[in-house]
Amino acid sequence: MATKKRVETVSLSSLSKSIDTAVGMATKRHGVSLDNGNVILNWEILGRILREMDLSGRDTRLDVAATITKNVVGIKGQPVVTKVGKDILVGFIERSGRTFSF
Amino acid sequence: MAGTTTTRIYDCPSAQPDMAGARPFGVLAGSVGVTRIAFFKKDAIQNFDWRERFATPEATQVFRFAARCEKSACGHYDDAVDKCSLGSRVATALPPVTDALPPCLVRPSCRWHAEQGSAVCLRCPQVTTMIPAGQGPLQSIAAPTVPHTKSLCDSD
Repeated sequence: MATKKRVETVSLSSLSKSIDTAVGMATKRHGVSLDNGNVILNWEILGRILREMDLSGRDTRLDVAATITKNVVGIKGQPVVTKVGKDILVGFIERSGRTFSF
Repeated sequence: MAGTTTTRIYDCPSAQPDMAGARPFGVLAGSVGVTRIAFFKKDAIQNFDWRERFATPEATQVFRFAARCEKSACGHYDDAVDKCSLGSRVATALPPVTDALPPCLVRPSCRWHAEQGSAVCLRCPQVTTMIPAGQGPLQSIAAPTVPHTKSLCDSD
């Protein structure tokens, strides 16, 4: 029986990887030069990017935290990365001096 | 269904990122030699701010874009029959590359699909908007054939 020819689909979870592959192909085909790694500032995707990073790459994760801080309009913050169990928390501590009651 | 397309507003499935209503609906996949489009699922495009980095014409080397059909402003539009001649050539001159209709987000408003029906959808995944030099079959059908495209050599 002949194999069915199906097209590929791209979901949110595979988007970043698919774009990297396509950029790599474009580089080979057209000789264009593009930065490695695509920049997607949607917060939902950052988790995947972080999971794929080398766990020892603390500086890289700090870059991501800094990027978040830089792009959150109207907030001054200190980028922070920490690991709790299997989860890596990336974010910032606000510098506004606001106090929170619990 | 295919045929009556004069009054509705349709989208071009091989558009440029700077056209009105532009948005990517697939990313180039396959291999360097045999390119295929991987079609975006809804959640992928909803969460992807493509203009952040890919709003340049070169982005067609990475994505397939859809945008509002520019009709007579486009070299592929045939005013005589109010149809896209490129969609017609894709449907007739290229071989099918899939057995089933791709899960395409553009289809409901796609001019090619409205005019050519499902036949063009089975061939569409091999179409890339930016065709590399030397890709014979694609290049030969991509050249506009509609008479209103005046060559520079024709000037007085």
